[in-house]
Amino acid sequence: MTVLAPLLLLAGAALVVPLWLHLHRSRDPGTHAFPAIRYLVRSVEAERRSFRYRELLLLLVRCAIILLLVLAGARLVLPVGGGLHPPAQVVLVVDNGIHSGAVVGTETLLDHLVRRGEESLAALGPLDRVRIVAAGEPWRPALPLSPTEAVDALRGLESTGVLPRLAQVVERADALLEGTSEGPRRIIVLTTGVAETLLDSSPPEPPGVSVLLVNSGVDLPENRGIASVEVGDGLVPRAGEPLVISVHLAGTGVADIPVRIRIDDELAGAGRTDDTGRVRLELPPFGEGVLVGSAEIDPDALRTDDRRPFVVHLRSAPRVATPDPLHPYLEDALETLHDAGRIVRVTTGAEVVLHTAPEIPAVDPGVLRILLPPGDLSLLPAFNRSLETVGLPWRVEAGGGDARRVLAPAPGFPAGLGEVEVTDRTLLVGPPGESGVELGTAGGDPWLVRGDSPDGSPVRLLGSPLDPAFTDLPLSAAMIPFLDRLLAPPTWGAGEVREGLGLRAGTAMELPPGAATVQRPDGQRIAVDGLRRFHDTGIPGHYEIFDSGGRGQASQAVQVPREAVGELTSTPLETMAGHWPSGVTAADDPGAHTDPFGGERRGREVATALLLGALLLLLVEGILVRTGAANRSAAVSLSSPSEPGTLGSRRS
Amino acid sequence: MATSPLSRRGDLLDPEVLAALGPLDLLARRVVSGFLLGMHRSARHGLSGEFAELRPYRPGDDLRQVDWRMVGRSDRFFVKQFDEDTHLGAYLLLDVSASMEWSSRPDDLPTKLWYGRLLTAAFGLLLFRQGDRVGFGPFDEEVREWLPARGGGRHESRFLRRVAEVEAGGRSGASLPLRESALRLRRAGMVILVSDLLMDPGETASALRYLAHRGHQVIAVHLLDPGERELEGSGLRRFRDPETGDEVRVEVRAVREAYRRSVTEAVEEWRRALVPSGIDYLQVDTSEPFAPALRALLRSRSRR
Repeated sequence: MTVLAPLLLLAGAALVVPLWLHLHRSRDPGTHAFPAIRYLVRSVEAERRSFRYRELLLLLVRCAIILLLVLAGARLVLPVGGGLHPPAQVVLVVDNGIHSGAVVGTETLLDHLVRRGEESLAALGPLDRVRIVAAGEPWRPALPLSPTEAVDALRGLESTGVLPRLAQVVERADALLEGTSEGPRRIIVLTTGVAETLLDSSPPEPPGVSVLLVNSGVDLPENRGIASVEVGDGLVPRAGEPLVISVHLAGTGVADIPVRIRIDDELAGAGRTDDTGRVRLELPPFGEGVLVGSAEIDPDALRTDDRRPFVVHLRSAPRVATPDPLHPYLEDALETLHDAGRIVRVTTGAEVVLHTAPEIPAVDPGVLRILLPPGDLSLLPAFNRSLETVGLPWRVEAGGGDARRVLAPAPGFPAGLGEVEVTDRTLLVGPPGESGVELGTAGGDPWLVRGDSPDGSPVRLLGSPLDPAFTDLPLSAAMIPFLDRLLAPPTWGAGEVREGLGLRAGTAMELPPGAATVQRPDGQRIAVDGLRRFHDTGIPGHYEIFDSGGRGQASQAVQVPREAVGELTSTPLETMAGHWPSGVTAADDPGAHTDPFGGERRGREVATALLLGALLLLLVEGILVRTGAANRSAAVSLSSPSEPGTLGSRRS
Repeated sequence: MATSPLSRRGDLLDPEVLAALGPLDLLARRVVSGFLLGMHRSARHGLSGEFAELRPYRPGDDLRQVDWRMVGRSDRFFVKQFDEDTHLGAYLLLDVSASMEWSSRPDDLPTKLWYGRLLTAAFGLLLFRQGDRVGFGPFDEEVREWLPARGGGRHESRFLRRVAEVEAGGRSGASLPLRESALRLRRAGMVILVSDLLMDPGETASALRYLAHRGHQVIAVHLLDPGERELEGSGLRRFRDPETGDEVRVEVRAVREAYRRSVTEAVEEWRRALVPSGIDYLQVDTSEPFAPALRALLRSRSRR
């Protein structure tokens, strides 16, 4: 039994009217002096019980009339005649992915979703067919089941570690219903309501079958994880200097959360987050070498990113040589870094050489060369020839004019770069598909690229001279930290982790030259002789790379993949439904999922019968009124100032 | 051609017409005179109260007055001489409680008190005409002030003035006044109770029976306004007793029939309580002319 217009049930409040009139007759009929009141009392007493019964009968009749009218208005449907409809085809999509394992109270989200599903199935008839699609177990066969069988299948579902792609699953459910026989068709999506399940999907096509989104009906628990770990406090960490590690939490309830830093599995520092979920920890100085560490918080209900591994390559201040004349701004900046101990300016034995002239002389293997194009654009051909000599597949070309572009912030570089502009006077041009862009403009053009010369020496190439005529970077506060980052020799394995960036589990890991084996976090060693990339990165944690002699060559931190983070950020159903252009509705009404077909399969509307019943009762009511039974409250009260409420005082 | 009320007998006029014709004493005289005009014989014939003495028969005397027993014993004609002056003591007890000051149609129908005053005055005049001694006791729960039973024209005027002056108020209770009247009547007399009888029936009937057992002629005149006999109007109404303040809220239509039965039962209960004890129970509708009540009084009076 259901109603097709439940809002009209509110009209049932009209039942209050006869009840109120019956119970609280507040209208003042006016007082009339009447000396023969003793006869009146006598007659009222004699008829009192009879009147009471009649009043009650009349009240019931009137309430029944209102009730019947309200139910008729609300379009009551009774489970009769439902078999006249063809069987319905339903696909029940259940989000049993990673989020469904979150525990709310004493049950998981999946338990709540299964209950919603059972309620939906209870509304179906035995001839209806249901396909269960588990969003957390893609591409399992979805066979048509009877509602009873579907309940069993539903109860058999378990949470998985997969991040569901609801848009894709709905597309699949839609495909399942294509070509099904005539009859009502519906897709019911039982979703955890987590926004993440709709991420990374292109705008879906509107489904051919109407889709109803139903959530678990419970609030998601607090859920937090480590969004980023930054080592070095904005600068490249140096050996012998205090090691500053900044950790940022994301999710809900991120304030005052204890954060621990482990270095080589030893607790090295701990602190609590502020209101914004950030904590800055200053660890004692470490010597040169590779620090393998992790930041971690207490595990919560679901998220797997409560531990973030990181690898830090600590070096001393690099020895920097600048054989060519420098622009005064650049010269001042380098002196500042030198004075601060961030670099050591040398003329021989340099680890880093900064070139500003078109000619690029050879350097010892392993020396980082920083190449700045010449300020005189007429020297660009010579500079490009030098680039070819170095083996860098990039060229610098003169641009069209003085149009200015803003640099795009990039991990590891100072945030102030986002306000720095560069001109179009010089442009970096590389071969299609070439990687190695470290910094670019907001428009996506490369501005700082890296590469390796044939002898293995690293090279960094800027898109323009560090000259105010080409960029306002020398005039900005970002100049010093930018140079600090630019002059730092490349370290294999980033010491910085940010959400959405860095190496994630499942993505290929580039190997340093000479790598022979890779040891996974589970201890297994895999031979990688001759390979430039390692693909078996499914397990988050630290990967150790060894050369053919078994010596440790490098370390790499691999983060939890985004799909496995399990971020429980809820989103309203309406927002989720808005992800589709049309055809998807949110079950705003808590009971909407129990009526997936809006009454079309629930039986027959009985409004006519209800109206006839109401008319019949109206007739009865009229007869009661006419025959005197309807006389409202024949004797409703008797009061006496002298002897209140007693008849005996006046009775003889 | 319509007959002017002034030209009609007062005892046959409707009270609402009569009420507009003058002060109470004049109306009472008019009612009584009109009533007596309607009698076929002199009111004095057969209406005296008590036998006084025998006297020798004189030509012209009514042969019906001859005492044939004395003729048998003394062989002489004697006629019975009745005391036509102040032979009977009568007390008129008029209920002046608050309930009497009510009319179901205040615009045209006089109140029960007005009707009772006029009826009491008419009764009194009728008794004065027969030479009776007439006393008056207006009462609510007790008699406010007794007017002793006397005869004579001066007393008659005083009686009429007192009747005309009484005002309504207080709660009803006839038991005490009735018992006091018994004390005031040394010899067998007459007590006339004029009331709406909205009082304790048990105590009142008991007091009336007490009077009857003491040998008094007792007449209970039960005044009923037509609005008391028949519940009028419709809809929900709250009725308040002017004497006690008791209130009842009823749907008039719903209780009309039951009320009618209740009134009928109450009247029957009065009749059953009084008539077997020799008490004349007279039910008078205040919308009816006075003649039937006066006739009933004379019938009752003539039985003595």
